[in-house]
Amino acid sequence: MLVFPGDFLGYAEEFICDDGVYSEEGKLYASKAGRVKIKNKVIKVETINEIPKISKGDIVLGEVIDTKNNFALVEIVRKKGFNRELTTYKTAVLHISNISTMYLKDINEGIRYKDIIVCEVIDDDLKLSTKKDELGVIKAKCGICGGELLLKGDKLRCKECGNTEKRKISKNYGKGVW
Amino acid sequence: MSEDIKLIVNGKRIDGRAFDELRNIRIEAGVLKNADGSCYLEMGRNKIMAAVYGPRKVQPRHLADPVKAIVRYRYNMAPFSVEERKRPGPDRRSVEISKVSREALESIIMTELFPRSSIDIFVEVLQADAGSRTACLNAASVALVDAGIPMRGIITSVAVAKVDGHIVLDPVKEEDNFGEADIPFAFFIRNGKIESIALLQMDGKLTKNELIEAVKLAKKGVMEIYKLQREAIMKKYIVEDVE
Repeated sequence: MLVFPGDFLGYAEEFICDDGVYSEEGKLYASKAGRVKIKNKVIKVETINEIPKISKGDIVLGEVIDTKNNFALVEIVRKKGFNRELTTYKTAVLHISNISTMYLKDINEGIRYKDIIVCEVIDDDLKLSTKKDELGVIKAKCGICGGELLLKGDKLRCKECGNTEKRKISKNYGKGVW
Repeated sequence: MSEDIKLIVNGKRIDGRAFDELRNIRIEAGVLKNADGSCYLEMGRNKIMAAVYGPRKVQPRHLADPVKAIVRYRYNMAPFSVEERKRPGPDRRSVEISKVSREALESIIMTELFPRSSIDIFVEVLQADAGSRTACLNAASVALVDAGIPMRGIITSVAVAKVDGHIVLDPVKEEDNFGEADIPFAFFIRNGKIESIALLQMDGKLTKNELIEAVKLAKKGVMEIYKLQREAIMKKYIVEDVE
């Protein structure tokens, strides 16, 4: 069934409200345009143009905004599958133990300040992990001169000054896809 | 007010419409690629483009409200939208229209669901011909639905004017300029019924009975526009079904 915002859907005793449905004075109305889906007495409206929400299991794109001894702070920019901005500033934590499957002596062997990384959300409290192959750094800059780092074997080499750096590199490094 | 212009001849208006007849309306949703929601609307000779962005991060950051989303509405007339070139940029009139339109839309958008974010609505008047604020509100609410922003219902708007002693629906420029009164209305419509008045402005003078008649006429016109707004959005879903 197709509905439009404000359409009457039922009474509050009949269903449990989910996305796209609101209740007022015991009545349920649609708050979005789309298709009504009812499953286990939970009613929701599915739209074409969904607003992204971040929860456990999502793949997200972010920028490292700070690194500490054993964790990094990542500002999440996009959610995979959505070409739409997030609703607010979301800062997540990436612990050193979740960066790579290998032992890291120093967090800077895995990620550094200003790196663009792809991560998986492993907790609803916005804890991140980059352990999988397709996750990790997809774009980085040289720590010395700020030049572009190019992939050389399993390391990154600066185009400008020849400095080599180590990262937890995604298999999509430098390809522009994530 | 010039006396030589006859706005009503033989019970018909200057463009041949009846007193309770709307102008032709064409609504198209989702016309802009980079906006989250958009709408192009033609209401007679009015041509309006509306774009909605958000809910997104608030820029500048200090404007953010920790309990609800902020709504920003910009009504802007293109320099070429009127006969004599309009000086570009916000002026007293468009700032006021932006404010009242924003307040009308704020009352139906469920801002409490998106704390610390902003919903930005930009409405551009490409061609103006009286009642552009009402056309803009209609376009903006379709764009909001297109963006998937949760709303309690929808805002639908129409203007009523008093011309040569008659109350007429949806005035054109001549009726607006030489008429006795002009009243833009916006209604909050839920489940196909008018719930409340979200905007009411007036210039000119009306008696109490004339105002009651104007509200009646506006309610009738608004229901027709509501159906068109609904169709414009549903078209997107029906196209999807065919694919």
